[in-house]
Amino acid sequence: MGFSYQISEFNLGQVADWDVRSHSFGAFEILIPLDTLNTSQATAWMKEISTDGNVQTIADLLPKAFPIFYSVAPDIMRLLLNPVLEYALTWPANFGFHDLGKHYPNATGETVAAQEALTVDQTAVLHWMVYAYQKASGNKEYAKPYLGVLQKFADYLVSNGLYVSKQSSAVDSIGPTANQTVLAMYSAIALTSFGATTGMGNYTAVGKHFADVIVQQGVNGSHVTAHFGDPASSWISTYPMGFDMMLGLNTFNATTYKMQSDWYSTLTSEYGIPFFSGVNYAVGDLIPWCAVTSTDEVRDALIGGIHAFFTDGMNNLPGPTRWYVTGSNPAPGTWPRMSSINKPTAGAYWILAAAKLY
Amino acid sequence: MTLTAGGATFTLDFFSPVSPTNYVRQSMPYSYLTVSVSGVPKGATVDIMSEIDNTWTGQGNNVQAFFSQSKRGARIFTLNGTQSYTYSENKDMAAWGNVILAASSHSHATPISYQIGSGPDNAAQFANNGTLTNAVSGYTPSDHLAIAYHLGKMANNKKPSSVTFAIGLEQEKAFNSFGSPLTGYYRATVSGTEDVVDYFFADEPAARAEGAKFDREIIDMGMQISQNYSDILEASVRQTWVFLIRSLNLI
Repeated sequence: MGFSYQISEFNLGQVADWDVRSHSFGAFEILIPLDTLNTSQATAWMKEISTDGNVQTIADLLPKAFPIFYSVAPDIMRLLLNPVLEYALTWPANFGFHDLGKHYPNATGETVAAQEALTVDQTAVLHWMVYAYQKASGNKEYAKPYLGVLQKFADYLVSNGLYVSKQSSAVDSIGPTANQTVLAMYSAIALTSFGATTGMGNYTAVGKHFADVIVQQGVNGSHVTAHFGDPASSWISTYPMGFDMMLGLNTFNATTYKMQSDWYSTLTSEYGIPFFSGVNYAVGDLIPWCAVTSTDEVRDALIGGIHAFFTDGMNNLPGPTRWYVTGSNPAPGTWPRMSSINKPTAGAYWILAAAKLY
Repeated sequence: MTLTAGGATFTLDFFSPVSPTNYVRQSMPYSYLTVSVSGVPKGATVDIMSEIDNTWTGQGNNVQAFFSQSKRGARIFTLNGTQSYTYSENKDMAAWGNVILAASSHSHATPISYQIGSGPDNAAQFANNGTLTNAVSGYTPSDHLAIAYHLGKMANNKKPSSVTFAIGLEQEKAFNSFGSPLTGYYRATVSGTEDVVDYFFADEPAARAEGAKFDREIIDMGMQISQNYSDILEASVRQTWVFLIRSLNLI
């Protein structure tokens, strides 16, 4: 696209062209059926931009985007959940599904066999998101048509969500291993979310029990380790606790939050903290999920790390959500790869604003 | 995006409406491109032209172009593919639907002219005359579609110092939901390119007012933590929300 201008007296003619390119994809789209134009059947859809084009990815995408909508547009959470929950009613397994399609803008569904098996993650976060919408909107009727399938998924987590079998989480930095503490956290928070959504206190109790086990068996050297029984050299950023804080569920208590905050304070550097002990990069959009359960001082240091990356002049937004924090090559504050760029998961940065809003 | 020339300053501004609750406004697949000018020497005249071409469709030379005028006097170019596959994409870029460039003088009586021609022909016509020929026949895929606002002598205080173009991508079938087509939420309120363009231009003041209010809300929410956090929230909104993402390069 060119823009030209001229001023008569100076015969400037076409002095410059601003070259504009458009990438016509949407961060999210608000849509209605073409045949009926019925707005009561509105849905919102997201694409997993710059990774694989998946539609409405439940584990990797939606929960990270939720904090911004929780903060400023709760009804959009409902629109995003609509197609997911409707699809859940037809889903044959007792655990959740990964996405609603592989090629945006086509929602063609999933099969159990073919799906990317982030089994506990994608089962758990559905509960998080349903409660997030209910809490922010006050709409206690919305979840009712879906309680059967949500209970089925919750029961799956009760049986399989604490000592989780070999699999990855959506962050996919550790890779597929068994007994990851973050996956147990996902389950704990999912169960307290489901308990809060429904008033079924027995699920809340199991969720809090999971949290107790994590603190007893997933801690070594005064910090949470990446797996149950790991040595003290292993640590992980306990980002699911951020969602616990946002929703006010108290799945984990203040003592645990403080323990982690103290641990993070030993790790903060110019660009934040790495994701876990095995890598030297940050998952930047999840750093606020650690900040929100930390002391003000640690929170500010972590925010400062994100801010330093955004503003150091080496990066243009839309930009990556991962960057190097420690090590020397690649240099801290850089992300040389062309991945993890421009994703709507940037909504995750909003969790500090979202916490305790309702 | 700012450029200075001959003592005058030209600023290019993109605004894609961000609305937390107005789904008509939020779902309308258009952005406002505003060119503002200041510091023009007394007695000088100013004209501003914008062009699009087939690269916006992602469909190479399999394209066709149309010109139309709306009820409220908007001038509209539409580009679409002659062999599109609905719901197809080309490198994260939609490869179906109508690409729209429009200009409207509904809020001020600025003359508009337009033409379809090669890049050099359009540039020469504009440089020599400040207006275009209004010729729209004989489109070939290498042609550019150009629309120009003739602001004229800027010394007159009644003249606006900025002009706005609209750029959009319309897809009647926007999404395939398990075999059923979905369309933008806005189409329950207004549909048809010409009516949508009129609605979009008429909505601009309200859209900007809401955008400014939303910006203040974001800043306030962030400042409850810190200035750094407020900066991060503002940056993340663009990444989470904006319908059309652009990169601007001055060449």
